[in-house]
Amino acid sequence: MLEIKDVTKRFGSKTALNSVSLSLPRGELVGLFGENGAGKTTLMKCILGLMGHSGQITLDGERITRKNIARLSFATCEHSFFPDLSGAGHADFYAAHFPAFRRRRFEVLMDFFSLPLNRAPRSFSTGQKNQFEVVLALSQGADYILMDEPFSGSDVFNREDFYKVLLGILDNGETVLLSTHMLEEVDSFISRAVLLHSGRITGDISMSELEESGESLMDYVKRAWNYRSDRIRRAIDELSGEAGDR
Amino acid sequence: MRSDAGRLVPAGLDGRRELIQAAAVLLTALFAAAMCCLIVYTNARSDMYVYRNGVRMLRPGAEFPYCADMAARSAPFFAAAALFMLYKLARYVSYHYQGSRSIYTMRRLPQRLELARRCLSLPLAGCLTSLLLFLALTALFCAVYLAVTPEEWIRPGQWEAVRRMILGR
Repeated sequence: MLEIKDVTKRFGSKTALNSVSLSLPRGELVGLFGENGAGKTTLMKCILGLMGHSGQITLDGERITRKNIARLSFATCEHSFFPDLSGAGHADFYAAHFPAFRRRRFEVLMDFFSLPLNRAPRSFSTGQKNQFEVVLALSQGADYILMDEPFSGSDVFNREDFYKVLLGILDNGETVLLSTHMLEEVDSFISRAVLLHSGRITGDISMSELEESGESLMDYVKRAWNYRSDRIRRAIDELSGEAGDR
Repeated sequence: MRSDAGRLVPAGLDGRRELIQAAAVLLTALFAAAMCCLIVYTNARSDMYVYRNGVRMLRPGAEFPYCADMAARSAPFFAAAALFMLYKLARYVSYHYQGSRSIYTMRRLPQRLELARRCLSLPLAGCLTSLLLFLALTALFCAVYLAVTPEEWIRPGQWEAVRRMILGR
């Protein structure tokens, strides 16, 4: 169980995360949704120890240290691979540093996405870079796979391939925390939706509960964020009024 | 050697090439410094003489410089080599922020010192080697100085001067 308790992160006077608490048991596929600047990336980086924070984050009751950090992997839209190291080189590096690295899964995924083993990712297209980033995160052998907008810049076919892989390849004990703006693309396969708004958790619901309620994920998110759809109409009316005055 | 060298530099860089480059810089510094010492010594010997009426004679009151003072003139070459190593350190650190954020991977590794090892090993070794080469050249130069310089020119306290030069006091 990954437990996040009262985590707060401030950047000067700005509070990026405000007393965020969340529990992630093994085996869940959790969608993390929020507007730009909501704190999704900050939350993931705090979990991984890439940023200092107040509050507590534990993995099966223990603080996250060098001893258990390998149980977490990370795929980010910023990309965390080595740009000049070939695919095969990455496999060797990961095998040397992450004891549970899954080489077979790595080779299968590289083949699935048609990514070359003997070229460095610096020469890849944006879509290929995204795929490679995800391949590494899925192959590390981690129990918790954190993905921060891994499809940024990818086309719809790229994303479709990724969803197929994710659904087909994960073991029962693997947990994915997936941050994305593509609500309607992921709502069919995530098991839980967590909403982050201005650094606070404003919603946390299982997809089965949502289905029972008859509400779509999009409507749930809009309701949780107090989304005012009438403001667009009002803005257009105001502009039309201005045009009429002229 | 290829795989060992690769573990001393950021993942993806050619460790062997980085080693060869560092060695080339150090050897160039050593060669330039040695030439400098030779030129300084030769000039110092010439400066001990004057020509009067076509006859070469010792300059009255001339004092032959200490070997330490001559050897010190080679220091800038080794300082330049050390600066190059510091540039490499900056390059290795910044590598993890360019083209991607591989720094995230390095900071997630179970091996606590891996990032430090890959960024610091070669530059630190290079700086240390530069210092050792300077000391070795100084010692060698002074030994040659004492062997080839006329005894009457050699002022007392040569090794004391070397010690002062190295320690700065």
